[in-house]
Amino acid sequence: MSLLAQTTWWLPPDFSEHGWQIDRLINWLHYFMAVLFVGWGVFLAYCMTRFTWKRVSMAHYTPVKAKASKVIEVAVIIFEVILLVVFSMPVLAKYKNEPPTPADNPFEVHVVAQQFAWNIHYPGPDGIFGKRDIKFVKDATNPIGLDRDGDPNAKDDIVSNNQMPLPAGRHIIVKVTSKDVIHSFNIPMLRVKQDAVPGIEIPVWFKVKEGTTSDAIREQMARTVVVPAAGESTTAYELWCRNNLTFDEVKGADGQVVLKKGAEPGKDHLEALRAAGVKELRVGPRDPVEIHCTQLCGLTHYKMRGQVLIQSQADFDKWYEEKAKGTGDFIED
Amino acid sequence: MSHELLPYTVKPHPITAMYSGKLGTWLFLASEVMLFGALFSTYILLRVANPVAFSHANTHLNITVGAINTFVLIISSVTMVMAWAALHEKNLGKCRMLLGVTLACALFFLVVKLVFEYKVKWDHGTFPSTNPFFAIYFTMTGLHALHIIGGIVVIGYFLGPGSKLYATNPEYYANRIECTGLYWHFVDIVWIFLFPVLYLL
Amino acid sequence: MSHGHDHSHGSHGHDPHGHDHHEPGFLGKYVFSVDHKVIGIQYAVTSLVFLLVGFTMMLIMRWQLARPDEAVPIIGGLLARLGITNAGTRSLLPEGYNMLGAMHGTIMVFLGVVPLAVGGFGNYVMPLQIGAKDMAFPKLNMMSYWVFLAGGIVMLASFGANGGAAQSGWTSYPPLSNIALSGQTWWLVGMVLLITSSLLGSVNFITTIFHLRAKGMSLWKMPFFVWGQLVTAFLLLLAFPPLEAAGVLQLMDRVADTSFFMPAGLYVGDKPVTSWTGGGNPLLWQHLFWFLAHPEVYVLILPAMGIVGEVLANNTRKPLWGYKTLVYSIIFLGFMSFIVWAHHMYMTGMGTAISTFFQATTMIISIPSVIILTCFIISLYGARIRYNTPMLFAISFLPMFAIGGLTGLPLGLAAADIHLHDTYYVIGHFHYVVAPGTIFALFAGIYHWFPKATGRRMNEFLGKLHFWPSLIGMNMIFGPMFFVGIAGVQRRLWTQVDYNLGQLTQSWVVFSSVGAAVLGLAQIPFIINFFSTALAGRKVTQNPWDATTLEWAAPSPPPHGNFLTEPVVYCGPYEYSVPGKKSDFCPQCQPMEA
Ligand code: HEA
Ligand code: HEA
Ligand code: CUA
Ligand SMILES: [Cu+2]
Repeated sequence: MSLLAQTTWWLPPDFSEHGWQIDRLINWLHYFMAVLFVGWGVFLAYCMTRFTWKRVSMAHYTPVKAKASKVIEVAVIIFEVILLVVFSMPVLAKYKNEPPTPADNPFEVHVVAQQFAWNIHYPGPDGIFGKRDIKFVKDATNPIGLDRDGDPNAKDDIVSNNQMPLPAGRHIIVKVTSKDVIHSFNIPMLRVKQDAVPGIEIPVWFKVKEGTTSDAIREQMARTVVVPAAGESTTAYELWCRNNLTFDEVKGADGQVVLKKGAEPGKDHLEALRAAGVKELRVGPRDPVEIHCTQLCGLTHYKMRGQVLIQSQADFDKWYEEKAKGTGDFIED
Repeated sequence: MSHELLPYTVKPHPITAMYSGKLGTWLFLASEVMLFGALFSTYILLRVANPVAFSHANTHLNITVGAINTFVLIISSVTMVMAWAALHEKNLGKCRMLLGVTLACALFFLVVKLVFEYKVKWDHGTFPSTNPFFAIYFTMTGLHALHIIGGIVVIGYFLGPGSKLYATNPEYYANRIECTGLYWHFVDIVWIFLFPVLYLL
Repeated sequence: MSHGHDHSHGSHGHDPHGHDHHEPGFLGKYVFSVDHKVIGIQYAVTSLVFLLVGFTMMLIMRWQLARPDEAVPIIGGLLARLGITNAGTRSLLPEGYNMLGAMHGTIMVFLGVVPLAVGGFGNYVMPLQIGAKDMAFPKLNMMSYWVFLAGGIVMLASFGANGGAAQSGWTSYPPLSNIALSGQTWWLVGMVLLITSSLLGSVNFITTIFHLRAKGMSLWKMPFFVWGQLVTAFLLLLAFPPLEAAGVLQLMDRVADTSFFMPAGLYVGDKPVTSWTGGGNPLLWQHLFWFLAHPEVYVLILPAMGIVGEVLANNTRKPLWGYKTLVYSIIFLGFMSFIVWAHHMYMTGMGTAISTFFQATTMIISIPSVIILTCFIISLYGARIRYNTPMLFAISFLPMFAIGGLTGLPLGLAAADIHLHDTYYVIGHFHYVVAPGTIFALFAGIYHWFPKATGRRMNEFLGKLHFWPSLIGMNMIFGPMFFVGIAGVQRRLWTQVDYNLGQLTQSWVVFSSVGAAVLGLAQIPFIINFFSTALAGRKVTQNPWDATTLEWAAPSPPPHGNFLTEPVVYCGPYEYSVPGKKSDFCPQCQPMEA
């Protein structure tokens, strides 16, 4: 039950500029649904208790005149129309039809999904994407088939596997496609979702709120884990520690560091933590903003995860220059 | 409203003006329209996406053979109607003769399709997998050919063993021929759409 | 297959001189029967078995979700032989999860609910309710059942295919399904059989309803259930063929290497794809699939609404409120259901003009559902409610369907769907409509018509022991899914605990799985009740519920040919509590004056 206390009930945090509109629509819809459900529910409960076999001797044959029902139905229609026209269509139109203009100085990234990874393709400092062709595809070294030798624009391109560094506060355009089957590029905490359909390249755009960094988000998502005493079940503890980092440095009685700040606690450290008398640990997700694949894409669809590393523009630029100088690629296993 | 229970009747129903078999056949044909409709939609979509493959590929089809087959199918539709009409003249012999002609046309169509179209293409190394045009060509004509085969089985049955029914219940037999005819016309009409769409456009 | 009329002589075979007095043997009577009641029972029992199979698959999956990577209890070892669990650890493999998931969806929809609602209840009850002796094409009816069974067997047998059963979801989206192992081909063959069976059935249903009504049974005197079956039959008739076409195209892609759904330049695994030339479009499948599958969801709900209408009228002892409105609503629902399909595809990159159209139609289609529910609830006002087991199930259908229906609205608005699409919110939405919605309605129907089919009435105590824990279990399973989905966790995950958001919702997942266990246990009293009543239940009269519709004017169980005397219909279907009458119900087959 200690788990239930840490359970979420509603939307995940949102770090995009457009997300609040989606959230607002979801919230309004649920208020509306709640009113309808509770309203009818009360009426239903009333009828169910008032008109029982015992309390009534004969049912009413003539139908009741239910003007109220017409009023409610019309009200529902009006409300749905408002939600559709005022809240859904403009938001969607903006999401779909109004890409950032060159004046907005957008930053463009390509995403090529494959079973089962996200390949992120950056144009490099020259801002021009090198050509891709499947005849150059090599699974381990060149997953997107970048023409490194033939196309000079490809020289400084950066290709990354599952890791997606992005600057905050800048318009970002992601062009999504796939190499094999249909995937779906979804960053719940940025309220972005777009199917990756092979053969088509589909753009989505968004802007991470100015001032956001992954480190700050980790801080915001911090939670406390209870260190199980000897003999207690460790299942919950292990679950909460998966891919999570500590905020505190833990020292044993002898003053030796048991757990470094920013280390991943887990089963291995359990003994030492207990010995050091630690009852609780503060942890936060290692990569707080994740890319999900929301379309069933095969065997390990379930672990097709990517990580968005949100940085300030300055930090991002530094990283970008650095990478472009090297091989350009950083592909983890 | 209906004045009697009509489970096994051959008489038209007062509301729909059809006997049950006929209504059932029409309903079945409605679903067939949806089936081929979906395939024609697929054709349009593929054609829009692959203009090149489509504009060249149909030059590989043999329009003459296709036209002959179209003609033969139309004839068979006519003889099918005439077979039914013959029953109204109470002439089973003529009906069976005309059914025989229909059957012969159907077989002719199939043989031509197989020998002078499919086999020629296969010999040239053209298969459904060659390009999107041939994919839809083989799929649609293949499905149509399956419908022809179905028709052959049914017509053959009523020409042969099924015609015994005439002796005991001629009206019922006539109804069965009428329904077979409806189906056969549908198969014919599908081809009349297929021919220009695949061979000429 | 095209020749419905082949069979219009039905039980008379090809010999037009009937041999009504000739008793068919055991095989003819119970196995290859052409009697709509026997076929109805065959459908019902088969589909109940499939429901149980589909549910068992889901129990295994729920085990894995709650206890990632732990050995599946009891059958873990057995499943290893099918390649579903790990032979060593006996835990569910990811491929096993995907197989069970695809098969759960397929089985529940095409082999469980539709055959029970349409094949079972439609076949058994509809001809009786309209006063017919049998279906219009009895032999065709028999054939529908056997083709259906063949389809079901192919589906189940596909677990033995090389690489196991289909693993691409019940939606079978290409290119994934195109490059899948041979289980997918089995799935396609099974689907083609099931579709064929449905088409034969729907031709039969429509003809029967139009042609075989008893004297006096005008369209506006038909019970609401019959209307539900009529609209359903039209949906099946017109929506299924496009999926059949899509199935044929996918078969071609898989068997003949055509590229209907394959674009050029794919690179799968570590090899470029060369067996397909490309030029196709994977989204084409989605359009054809959802063109069926959206109407299909109304196929799942309309017969259920029909059952609920019957049970409500009978147990409120008053006419259904707004009967004509109800009928117009479902007809409108039927029409509209053909033009909302792309609301399942908002995230495929379609343009805003198209998605605006589909958002608008989706909002429009929710209106008749609101009206239907409103009519049902207002029917309770001024009623004299009799709480027997069928009524409990029928009445709880209302709030359960309301939750499912209402949560369809956020999915229908594309902007909200950006966040919710393909998350557990969708799973929660549709299970509320199909599980505590449709399945409860089907349970109501079983309890309600069991006395008709067997002459025996099911035990009330066991019935309530079935109902209450089922209600609790259903809500425990599907309620939390809204929270999991809103939190952003996607569906079809073998395990979700590696995701940050998934860690936060894992306790809901465990809670759901406990609910599934509760629901499973709750079915035991039902199964006991079902068989013990069938064998030795309390015998009841022909009309134990004091009902008005025609099926209760036939003996229980009705003999071959149904009615002892030809029924004649005098009044509407729900003449309950007519003022000035001695009894509180006026059967349709008796003149009101009597
Ligand atoms: C029987 C089945 C059924 C029914 C009836 C519905 C009904 C509706 N569905 Fe659902 N739906 C499915 C089955 C069903 N659906 C399935 C199976 C899927 C997923 C398939 C997959 O991806 O695998 C799905 C998915 C789905 C999506 C796609 C989501 C996504 O993938 O992102 C959408 C989007 O628009 C949608 C919308 C709707 C709407 C607007 C309705 C409307 O018709 C609902 C209208 C009803 C109401 C509005 C309720 C009225 C309530 C009241 C009047 C209150 C009364 C109160 C009390 C009684 C207390 N559904
Ligand atoms: C009609 C459709 C239907 C029905 C009724 C159900 C019923 C249930 N479903 Fe299912 N489900 C789907 C259709 C359906 N489902 C579909 C289409 C999917 C998507 C698949 C995909 O992703 O491709 C899905 C997916 C799905 C998931 C998501 C999996 C994932 O995304 O990873 C889950 C998770 O919990 C789930 C659970 C359940 C449960 C617990 C029930 C329970 O409510 C089950 C209730 C059943 C019973 C209680 C059995 C009753 C029968 C008897 C008691 C037999 C008696 C026998 C005799 C008397 C002989 N379903
Ligand atoms: Cu990629 Cu799911
Ligand atoms: Cu839908």
